[in-house]
Amino acid sequence: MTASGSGQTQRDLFQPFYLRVAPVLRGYIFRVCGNPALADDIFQESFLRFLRTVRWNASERQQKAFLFKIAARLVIDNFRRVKTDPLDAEDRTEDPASAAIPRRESLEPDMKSLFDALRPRDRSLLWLAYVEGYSHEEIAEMMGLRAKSVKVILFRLRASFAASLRGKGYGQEGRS
Amino acid sequence: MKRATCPWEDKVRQGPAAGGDDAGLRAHAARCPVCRDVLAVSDWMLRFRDLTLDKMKADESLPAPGELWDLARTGKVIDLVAAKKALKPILVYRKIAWIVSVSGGAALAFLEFDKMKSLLASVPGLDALAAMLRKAGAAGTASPVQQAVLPAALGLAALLFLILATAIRRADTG
Repeated sequence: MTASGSGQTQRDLFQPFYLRVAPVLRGYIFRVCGNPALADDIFQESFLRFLRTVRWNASERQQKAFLFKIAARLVIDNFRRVKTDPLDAEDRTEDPASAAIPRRESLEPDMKSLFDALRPRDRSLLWLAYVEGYSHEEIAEMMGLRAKSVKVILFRLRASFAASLRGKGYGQEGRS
Repeated sequence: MKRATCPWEDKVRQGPAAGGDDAGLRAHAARCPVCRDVLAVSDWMLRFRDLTLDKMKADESLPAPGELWDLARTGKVIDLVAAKKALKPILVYRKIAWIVSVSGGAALAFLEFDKMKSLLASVPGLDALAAMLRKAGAAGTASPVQQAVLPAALGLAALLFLILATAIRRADTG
């Protein structure tokens, strides 16, 4: 998606980009938010804002980073707006729609509870760093933090999370 | 003392995320406690991502890209901020036109005052009213009714002017 052109061309370029990026973006938002309904809203709003402001001549990596930045900011905004933490597991279970998810969850419960135990900001940082592989500078730009702060937070997170993984018996085996 | 950082840790973290599996980096991670932690977190996170995506794929399909595209396009039309920005030059031009009209009218009234005076004098009754007021003023015997006529006439004229100016302005901006 590196060419600029007519609306039809841009639409044609958007389709494969969307099919590549949308699943991972939705996964990120869902895991950071926890609430499926909220995640769907943020997912849609992210793409709408992206489509209204995207530079079509930017590289796909830049466009993907821009999209993740929009989503990360929306998640943070939602978090700040709602004073009581809507992303805590205890609060989620009060929502019948959300409460239904864990029961039909096929994920290993340990993995989910381990990730949910983190603060939403930390979940977001871990996902952007370890799943999307963004640099500290890119994550700082997305999250509205300083690169040095991201480095320090990720350093602490890595140490504590790796210790938790070892405690749960993860960590020594390879990726299955 | 335990090492806290490693120059390879970013490569160890970003490699698997990019889909690569470098045997050399894994060998390094086996020796380096920092990179071992990084790789453990990375492996776990990628496994968690795969399970998440599988679950989401099974649970609910994504919205169609065309649907989002059309929605974004519709949004563009009713984007008030963008519309205001686009209309700004027209609004500025309207303000300039309004100022030019008012100042031009004032200049015309000033330059052609004599002609306007004679035109007003030809209005029936107005001449007689002015003569009556002049006579009463000179004699100092104006009745209370006569004394009230001039301020009332001036007030009425000012009110009419305000109504006219407001109507023109509303029509112009609206």
